[in-house]
Amino acid sequence: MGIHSGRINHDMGIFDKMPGLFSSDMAIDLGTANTLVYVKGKGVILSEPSVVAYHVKDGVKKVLAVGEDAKLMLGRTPGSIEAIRPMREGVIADFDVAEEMIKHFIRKVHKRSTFSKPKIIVCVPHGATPVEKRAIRQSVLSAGAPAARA
Amino acid sequence: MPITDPTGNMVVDIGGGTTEVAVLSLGDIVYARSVRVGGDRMDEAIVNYLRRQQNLLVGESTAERIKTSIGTARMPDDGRGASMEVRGRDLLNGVPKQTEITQAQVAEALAEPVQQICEAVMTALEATPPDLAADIVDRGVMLTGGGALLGDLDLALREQTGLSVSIADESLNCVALGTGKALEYEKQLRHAIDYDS
Repeated sequence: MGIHSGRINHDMGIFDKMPGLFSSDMAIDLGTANTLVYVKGKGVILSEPSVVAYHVKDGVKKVLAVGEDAKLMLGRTPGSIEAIRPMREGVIADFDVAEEMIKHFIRKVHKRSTFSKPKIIVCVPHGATPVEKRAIRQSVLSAGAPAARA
Repeated sequence: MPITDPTGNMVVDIGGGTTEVAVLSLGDIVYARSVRVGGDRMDEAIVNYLRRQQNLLVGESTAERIKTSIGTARMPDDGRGASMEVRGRDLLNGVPKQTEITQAQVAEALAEPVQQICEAVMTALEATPPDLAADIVDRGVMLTGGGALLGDLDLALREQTGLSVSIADESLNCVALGTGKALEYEKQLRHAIDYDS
């Protein structure tokens, strides 16, 4: 029970439709609080808070931590570190940070990203506007599927 | 849940940022509505409540901890319920202090977001075609998402709507599992997927 439920609550987007030899297709729940990654045949293999921590030095941003580690920093950061939750109300609020986060999570579950073009489905909220959907699509494309951008 | 049958099912997914209410039949959405109330709004409500009532400023992570440990959608029967220690900054003299918050207070703080979720469910019920609504009376409402774990939310919804309300197993993973299903049964669910890339 309940397994189908989350899916139907959302519209779907498929970003790259070229299954490669090494690809492992993924389903991503890009949530405001947590991001979950499901890999075909393996189940939910990643579940982490949607938080990214940046170290800012001389105007250059460097990713310090993503997920669980970054969440611990929320609200406790010194001036040089920023902990950001890129998702607000179900959609991407901070484009670059979201991209960085998706990239990190995809890499974490999917080691051979250079050889393969995984098929990725992402959930978006029902009320998301086309602009918001496009933002999510773009983020995922540039994060995990470089070949699909063409 | 048999979503591909011609019967009505209602799913309420309470996420971090949004709550989505959907009525499903034949593998597609009959009616769906998304309100921007979710776990974050509940945390904010707790922060605001403590600031107004106790002159205590707490961070979002403290508010979240209060919500997950003693959060409840319904006044406890004894008018007080469990309590926990909260630390934050006193707004009057600016020093850190510790105080106690009871479940009754949390329920009061969360009344507004909970009410908004109930309203979204009611609106969805009103907009559902009568035959499907009859099915929902029969089968009840399924809660998913992190918000479903809020104490007594199912009871509060039951009181408001008179329907039977159940919480999905693994409610935190539901959306990911469901999207995964869409991946595995792509052919049957093709109509629900938005392909252009």
